[in-house]
Amino acid sequence: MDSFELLLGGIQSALTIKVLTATLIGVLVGLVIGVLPGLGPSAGVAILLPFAVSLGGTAAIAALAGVYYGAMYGGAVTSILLGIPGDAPSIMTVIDGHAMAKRGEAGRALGITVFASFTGGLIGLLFLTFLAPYISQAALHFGTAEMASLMLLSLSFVAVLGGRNITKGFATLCIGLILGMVGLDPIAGPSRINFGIYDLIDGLNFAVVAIGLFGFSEIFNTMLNKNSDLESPDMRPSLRSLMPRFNDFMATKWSQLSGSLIGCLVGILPGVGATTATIMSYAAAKKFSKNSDEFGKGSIDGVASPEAANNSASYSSMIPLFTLGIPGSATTAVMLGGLLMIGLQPGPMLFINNPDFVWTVFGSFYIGNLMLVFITILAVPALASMMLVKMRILYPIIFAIIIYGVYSINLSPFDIGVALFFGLVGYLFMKLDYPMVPLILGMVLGPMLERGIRRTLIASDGSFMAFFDRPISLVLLLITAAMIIIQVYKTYRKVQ
Amino acid sequence: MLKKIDFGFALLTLILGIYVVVEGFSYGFTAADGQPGSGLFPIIVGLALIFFSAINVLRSRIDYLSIKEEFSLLVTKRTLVILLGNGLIISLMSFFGILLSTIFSILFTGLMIAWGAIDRRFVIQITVISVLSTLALHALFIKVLRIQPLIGIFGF
Repeated sequence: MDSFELLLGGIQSALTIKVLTATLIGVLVGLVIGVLPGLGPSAGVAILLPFAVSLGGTAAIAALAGVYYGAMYGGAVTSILLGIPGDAPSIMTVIDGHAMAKRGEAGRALGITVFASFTGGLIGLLFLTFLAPYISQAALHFGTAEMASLMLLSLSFVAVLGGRNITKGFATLCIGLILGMVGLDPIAGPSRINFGIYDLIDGLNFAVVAIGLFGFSEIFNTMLNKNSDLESPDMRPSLRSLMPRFNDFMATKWSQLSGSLIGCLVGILPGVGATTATIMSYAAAKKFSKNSDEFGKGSIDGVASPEAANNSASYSSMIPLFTLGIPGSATTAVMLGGLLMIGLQPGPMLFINNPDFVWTVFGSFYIGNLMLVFITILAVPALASMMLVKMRILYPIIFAIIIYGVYSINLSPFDIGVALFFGLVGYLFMKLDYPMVPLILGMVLGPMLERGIRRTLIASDGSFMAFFDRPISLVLLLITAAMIIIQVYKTYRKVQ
Repeated sequence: MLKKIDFGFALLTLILGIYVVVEGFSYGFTAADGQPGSGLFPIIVGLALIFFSAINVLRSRIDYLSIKEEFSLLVTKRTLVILLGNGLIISLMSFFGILLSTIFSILFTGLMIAWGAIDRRFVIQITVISVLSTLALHALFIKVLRIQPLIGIFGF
C-alpha cells in the first residue's frame, strides 16, 4: 500500500467522535493558551498532557497536536493585536502584523494569518506524510558545525532586518546574545554574566524579556503619548477592517509558498525549529518582494510569510520525533513524553509496529488543520474588535494579563520586575531607533550558536577550520558573509 | 534631550561590552584541557558589542543619522513615575499577594493613562474593571490552569 492510501485510511479512522472531540478540545485550549502572554505551545501541551493521556491512543496525540497548532495561531493573535509575541516564532509577525493592526487592519492581518497558517500547515503535513523518512535521514548529516553556521546565517539577517541603523541592529543583537548567556554555561556549568543578582543564576527566560520588550514598552509608549485620551483615529477601525479579506490569500501566495517551504526544511532540523524558519522566510520575502520598502510598516507579505513558515515548521519538527524519536523542539519533547505515556516508542519501529496509529494520527492532523481554519475565521471579527476598546480601559487589563502571564512562567514576582525593566529598555529602543527584534533573536538563537561553536571546536581540537572543511557549513558561511557585505554596502550607498 | 540619551545609551552598551569581556576572561578563554572555555563566547560577543557601540557613540556625537522625535522633561518624569509606581506595587507583591497587587496595578496604570482627563465616571469604571478582570484572570490562571498563586498576608 502506498502512502496516499495509508493516509486516506488514516483520515477515515480519525473521523470518530472521540478523535474529533479531542482535536477540537486541543485546538480550543491551544487558542486560549496561545493568546495568553508567557504561555506558548510547549506550556499548553504540558498543561493538557494529563487530560490527553487519559483519552489514550490516537485521541491523546490528536489533542496534544491540536494544542500545538492552536497555540501557534493564538500566539499570532497577541502579536498582531497587542504587539506581544506569544512565543519565539511569533516575533516576526509582530513587525508587520501589529503595524497593520495599528493602522486599522487588524481583521485583515488576522485573516491572512489564518490562510497562511493553513497553507503552511498543509505543506508541512504533506512533507510529514510523504517525505518524513527520507528527510529525517538527510537531516542527520547536519552536524554541530552546520548547525552553528545556520545559526550565524539566521543572525546575519539582522543586517536585512536592522533597518537604516545597521550598527544599532548589530549592537542590539550582541545585547541579545549576552542576555542568552546569563545563567548556567550550557557545557561547562558555571553561572555567567549574572551581574551578581541571585535570581539571575538560572538565567533569563526568553518569554519574560519578550513580553517586557514588546508588551510593556508598547503600553509605556502609548501612555506617554501626547494624545492622552488614547483614542486616535487610527486605533478605531471600521467594521470592514475587522473582517478577513479572501483576496489577500491569492495576493500573498508566493510569500506563503516560500515561507512554507523554508519552514519545512528548517523546522526539520532538531533544535533549530520554527523561530529560525520564520526569520529566514521573512528575510526571503523582504528580499524578493517588489514592495520591500513596505516591510516593517505593515506589509501583508510580512505577515503571511513567517506565519506560513511557523506552521509548516511545527509539522516538520514532528518528522524527527516520529521517525527517529528525536524531539526537534520543546513542544515536541513534551509530545514525546505523551507518546511514551500511552505506551508507544517513537522511532523507525513505530511505523512498522503501529502503522494504524501513525496514519490515524497523521489523518487527525489534516482534520485539525482544517478545523483550525473554520474556528479561527469565525473568531477573527471578535478578536479584532478588541481594537475598538478604549485604550485607557484595554491597556490596564493587558497590564494585568502580562502580570499573571509572566508570573506563571516561573512563579516569580522577580520576573515581573525583569519584564518591567525590559519595558523601559524597549521604550528607549523605540525612541532611539534601536530595532528590538535582533535582541530577541540573539537571546533565542545565541545559546544554540554557542553550543554549536564550542562542540565543533571540542571535536576539532580547537581548530576553527572545522567550519570551513565541511561543504554545507562553508556554503552557509559564505552566504552569511555575502549577506552582511551586501547590506552594509547598500546602507553606505543610501547614506551617501 | 533625546540625543543626549542616545549618546548615554550607546555609552552604556559600550560599558556593558567591556564588562562582558572582563567577565569572559575571568571564566577563561580556554579550559584547563585546552578546549574552548566558558569565556570564549562572552569575549567574542563582548568585543563585537564594544565595536558597534563605539560606532554608535561616534554617530550620536556627529549627528550621523538624526533621531526624529524629541523627548520632553515632562514625559521623562512621567515614565519614571509609571515605572517606579508599578515597580513598588510588584516589589510588595509577596506582601499583598498577586490578586491585590494586580488590582492596584490596573488602577494605577489606568489612572496614569487617563492623567489629565480623569473624572468620577472613569474612576468608578476603572475600579470595577480592575476588580472584575483580576478575578477573571485569577480564576483562569489559578483555578483552570492550576498555577500556584502568590498568597499575601490577607490569605488570598
